[in-house]
Amino acid sequence: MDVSLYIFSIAVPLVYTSATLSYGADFFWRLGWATAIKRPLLFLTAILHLVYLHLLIAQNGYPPIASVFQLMSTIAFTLLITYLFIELSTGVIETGFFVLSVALLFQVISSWFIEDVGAVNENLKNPILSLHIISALLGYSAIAIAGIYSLLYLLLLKQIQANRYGLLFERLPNLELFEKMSYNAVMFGFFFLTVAFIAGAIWIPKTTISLVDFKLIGTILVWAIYGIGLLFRERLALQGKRMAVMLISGFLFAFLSMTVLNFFSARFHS
Amino acid sequence: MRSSNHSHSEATQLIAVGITHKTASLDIRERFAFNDHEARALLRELCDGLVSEAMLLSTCNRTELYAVPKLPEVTAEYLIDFLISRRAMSQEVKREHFFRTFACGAVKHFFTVASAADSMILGEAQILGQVKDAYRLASEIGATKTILNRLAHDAFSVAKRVKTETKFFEGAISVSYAAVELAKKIFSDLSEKNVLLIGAGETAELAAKHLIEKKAHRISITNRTLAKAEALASELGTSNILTFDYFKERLHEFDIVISAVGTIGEVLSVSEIERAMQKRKRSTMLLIDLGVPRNIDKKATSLYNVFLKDIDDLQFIVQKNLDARKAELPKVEAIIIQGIIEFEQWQGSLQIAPTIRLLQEKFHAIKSQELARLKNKVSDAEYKLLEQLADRLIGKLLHFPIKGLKSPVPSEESLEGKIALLRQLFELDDSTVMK
Repeated sequence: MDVSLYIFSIAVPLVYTSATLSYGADFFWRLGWATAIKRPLLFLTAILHLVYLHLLIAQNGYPPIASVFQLMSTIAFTLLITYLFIELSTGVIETGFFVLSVALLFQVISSWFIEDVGAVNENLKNPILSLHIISALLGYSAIAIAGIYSLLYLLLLKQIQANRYGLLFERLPNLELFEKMSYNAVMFGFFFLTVAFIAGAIWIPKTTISLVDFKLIGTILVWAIYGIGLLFRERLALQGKRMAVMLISGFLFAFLSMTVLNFFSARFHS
Repeated sequence: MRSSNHSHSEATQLIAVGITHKTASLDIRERFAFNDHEARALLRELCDGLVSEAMLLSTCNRTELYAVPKLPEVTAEYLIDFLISRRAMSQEVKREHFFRTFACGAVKHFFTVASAADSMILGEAQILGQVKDAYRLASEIGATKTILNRLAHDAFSVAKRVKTETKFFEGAISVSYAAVELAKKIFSDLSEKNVLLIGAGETAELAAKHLIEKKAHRISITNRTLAKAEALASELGTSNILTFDYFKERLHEFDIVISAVGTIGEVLSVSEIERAMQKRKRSTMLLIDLGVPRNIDKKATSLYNVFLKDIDDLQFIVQKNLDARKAELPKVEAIIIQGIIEFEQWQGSLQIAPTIRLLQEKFHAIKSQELARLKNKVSDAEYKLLEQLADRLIGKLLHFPIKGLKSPVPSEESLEGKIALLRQLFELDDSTVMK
């Protein structure tokens, strides 16, 4: 591995850790220094991660999507960027710790295990495949964020129902906002998953990928469940707790299909 | 010496006496309260020879007199007896019901009161307004001068700092406000929510006013007595009134329902709420039951997307906020102590100011005397130069004794000693300064 790439593979999780800790210190203890540095650290993390991804592309000649660990770093980056967009557009800063913790987890695993992939399929340089993968990653990141917000929704709901008005009650945004942000995130995710499917459908005849691939079926299931949920949201009274449970389940399912199943396969699709 | 000592004695003899919720029962406190007219009369009487400054703070939880005595016999006990005699309550009220504090202690007490750290409910915001009113009343009749003017303004600054630098005034401490705090944790924009008030009594009114403060304007009212509902509606600036036998038909239209009907018991059953929830497609509904006995069937808690909270539930929020305020007390005390230090420093400067003035006057008198001898021996331009030289020399020579005088000293005795020494060395006295 190139020296600069090696340095960045260590520096990037470190800045993720600093940003996550400063968001955590601000959320839990309202520390002045944490409040002051958390957003600059978030920007710094985004910049360093962008440089890192750029170095990976420069070294390999294709986007960092050839292995699970490259993908994990890309997911961490899309999570970070999606969160940054949400923070800047909504002004909600209290959820940063929770989203960044997930991004940090992805990046730490990636940096720890990442290695040179060696010779890769020439298809990775195909623009349709790139569109497929990038759309899928954006889709999954949005689903992850919807899942995290839904989890926070449930925690806050639990506190309100049990009359335990603790830290989460005091610091988190209101339930309705969580519901709206989760819904918007999942709409965003569904859109990108649909794009990923269309790009995949165009690209798949040119490959030898089997249609009974586990991850393919898993992803189609995730997409279908989200689609049905969004389409019949009102009729199914999918709001509040029900919606939150559905989004958390969807996130867990998508996470498992993206990660655990990949450990049993040399390629992303079989 | 007289001038200096006068200021000094006034500053250190600030006396505060009074009864508060900590020293006397409500029965005594309420009978000891002074209205504005009585307070004015009392302050006028006190300032007529007994004290040079006075201020009376009278609320439902405290009656406190702050005074700067003019005569040595005006002590704390004297002022307590004076207050008791003016209320003609010598049988019921004893000296033991009063607190008494002096100088620095009186300053600390006043700052603590103004910051609401001495209030029965910590951080109760009303007290600062009452302190301001007491000061305004006293200053209007000329009962406040140097010491109390400064004391009051410093107290306002301390209270402002407490408000901006701590969370001492944050969070609901009444059940009706806690209901609004809860609503804000469930809904994002109260201005878009439809609110129904069941009942038109004081509790409902208070809750509605808190909601309006948080920009909830779509408020409808229903009450058994229509006239009361109309009166409250006009006070709140709304025209949405529902008759009591009809409001259930439209229950589904409301996102927040606050019920505060006394004595009649259950107003909304679980089946009525379930019907409304079906009609509103299970969209979130917050039901606040402020009635005693409760107005809303507790079983509604189990309905999907229904939040039902009664007084006991809301009390948890109130308690949480009170605990949070208690946790802020060390920060509040630190601000109060800073305020006391600043006040004491100002008092110190008040003591040394006359000496500095005398010192400067004496040096400038010598300068004028010496320059006068040269007036006819030098040209105008040379005279001007000599005058400038003399001014510069005085400035530089006085810099050291003035700096030494202003520097911190370990005790009041040391400051007095320092002032006395300087006055002795330079033979300073009002009468000896050369004209």
